[in-house]
Amino acid sequence: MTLGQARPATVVGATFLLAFVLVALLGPAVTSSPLVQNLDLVLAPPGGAHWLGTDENGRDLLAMVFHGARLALITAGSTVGICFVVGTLVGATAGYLGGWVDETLMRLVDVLLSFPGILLNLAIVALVQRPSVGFVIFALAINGWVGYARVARGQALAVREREYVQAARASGAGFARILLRHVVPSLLGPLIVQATFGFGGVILVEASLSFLGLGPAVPYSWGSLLAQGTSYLWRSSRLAAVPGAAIAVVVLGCNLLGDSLRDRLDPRGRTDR
Amino acid sequence: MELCQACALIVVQPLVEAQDLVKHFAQGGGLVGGPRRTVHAVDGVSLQVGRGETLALVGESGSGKSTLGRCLLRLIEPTSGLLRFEGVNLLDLAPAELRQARRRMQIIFQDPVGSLNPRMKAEEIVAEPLVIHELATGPGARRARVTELLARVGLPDESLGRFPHEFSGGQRQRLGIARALASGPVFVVADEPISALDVSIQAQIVNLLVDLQTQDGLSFLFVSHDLRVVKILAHRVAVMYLGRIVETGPVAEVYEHAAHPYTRALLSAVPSPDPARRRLRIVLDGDPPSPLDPPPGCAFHPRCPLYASMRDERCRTVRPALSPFLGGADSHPVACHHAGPDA
Repeated sequence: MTLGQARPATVVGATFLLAFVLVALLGPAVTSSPLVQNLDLVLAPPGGAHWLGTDENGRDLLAMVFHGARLALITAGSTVGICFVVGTLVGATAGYLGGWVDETLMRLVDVLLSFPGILLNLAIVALVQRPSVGFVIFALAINGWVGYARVARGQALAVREREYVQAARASGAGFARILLRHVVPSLLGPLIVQATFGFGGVILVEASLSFLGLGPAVPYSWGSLLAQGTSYLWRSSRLAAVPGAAIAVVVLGCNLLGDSLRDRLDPRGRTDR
Repeated sequence: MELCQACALIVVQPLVEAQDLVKHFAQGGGLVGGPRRTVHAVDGVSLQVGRGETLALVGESGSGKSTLGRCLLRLIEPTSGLLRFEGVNLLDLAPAELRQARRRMQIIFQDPVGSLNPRMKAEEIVAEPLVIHELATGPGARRARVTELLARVGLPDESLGRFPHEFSGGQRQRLGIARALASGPVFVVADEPISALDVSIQAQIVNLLVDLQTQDGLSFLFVSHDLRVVKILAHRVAVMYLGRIVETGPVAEVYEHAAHPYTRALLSAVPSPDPARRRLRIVLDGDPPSPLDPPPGCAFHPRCPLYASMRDERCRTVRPALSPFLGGADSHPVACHHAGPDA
């Protein structure tokens, strides 16, 4: 498929995400420190040295948003990565082995699913005074993997009956070999779709935690910027609008890209064309 | 004469021996599954396959022949019974020992598309058993062995780097056969290996199997419903109906002196190339009964032309055992109360 044939939604989604990743990787290098305060220049309007102006402490908004992008990429990337690996292995194991292994693992999944997701995340981050980035990732991953596990299990149930899996067993392949060489590669498509949506979801949850002051103890995370910005909504609305737009762009990008990936994998569900 | 010597050898030392093998699948049950029911897929089968011998397993779809084939390799865990391979009780083996034993027994599948991992290249597919059993190790040795195997089944060297979808149906089946041969098995279950192929390709694969049989001395369990092919390939044949063997014996004997009405119906459906030898078609009514609820007595009686004419009470109440029936010069086992050449 060339770019010309791609649907507009795919192009937009991919562009948003690409821009986000580029900003997260390169942005912090081209901006000043997000923590430098210039109390002579508080709530400065955009222009001059500060393209997006400054906040109430005279910190450069662009620098904070760019550093926040890196933080968001690290948090969401790690969380999705951990959830993807754990969920895939647990789900594929449950689906392939079946029986009591399946029952045990999937009941654990049910237990985790029975909590409203963000409530569990909140309860965990609230356990510590100032959660580090790593701790927030842990809190997000603790129930984030269950979605992947359910998708992987459903797929593995079908793949297990395929004759090439039987052939591998007949050749004397052990559990690990069958799982990693034959079962998991067959599951990746739907899981990548899940991960694309999941990435947006994690960005949103992390921003919510930060908004509530329970996110990573870093002042420039997008959620905290948004929370601070709301205090100055009437005087300087961009303080809230910019991080808000950043969150919206990334989440929208994930959803658009996820939709088109899903449609490509399953043409029956296509809504247009 | 040659056949009889083969038979004697088989009796002395069977390569594969199953006694009273049973496989029941539970259906439903659990918390919300409704009443638990049992599918009698394989219902007490005893058979032997000698070294260098091909035993054909024939029967309609649903008769349990594929399940039986997989039970013999312990790809499906038998519910009960005895299973020996090269004198070792397969059912006693621990998982690691069983994986070792799998080097010596292999399977060729019916579906040449589904049995090859679409994400693996031909070389990886054929090499996988070598990797698992650490055979042909060392740089170059493995590729050389794979190339040799591909040549053995008539695939060119260029196949190495191709994916399954780049092959034709017949070539894919050859690839499946190459994989089955990779670890040097002595016993191969061929589960309807030609029924998914074009007729023109079938002959090539049959010839390949005959070659393997005569040159490499492999033993086959050949699962099929094509009685013409069975006649070419097999030494002995076992006819299955609803999870049980109803007639078994040397191919010539069973084909010429079929005693079970079911066998005779199957044989009558084989098209004859000789118009002068047109046989009377015996058409069976209805479908095979459900293995969920096999009929009492002889499982075949609801469709049996003999029962229809005789209405023998025994057929409905007593399950006939396999017992020797004297057809031609030799006798062979048949499970029918009214076995006979023209009953």
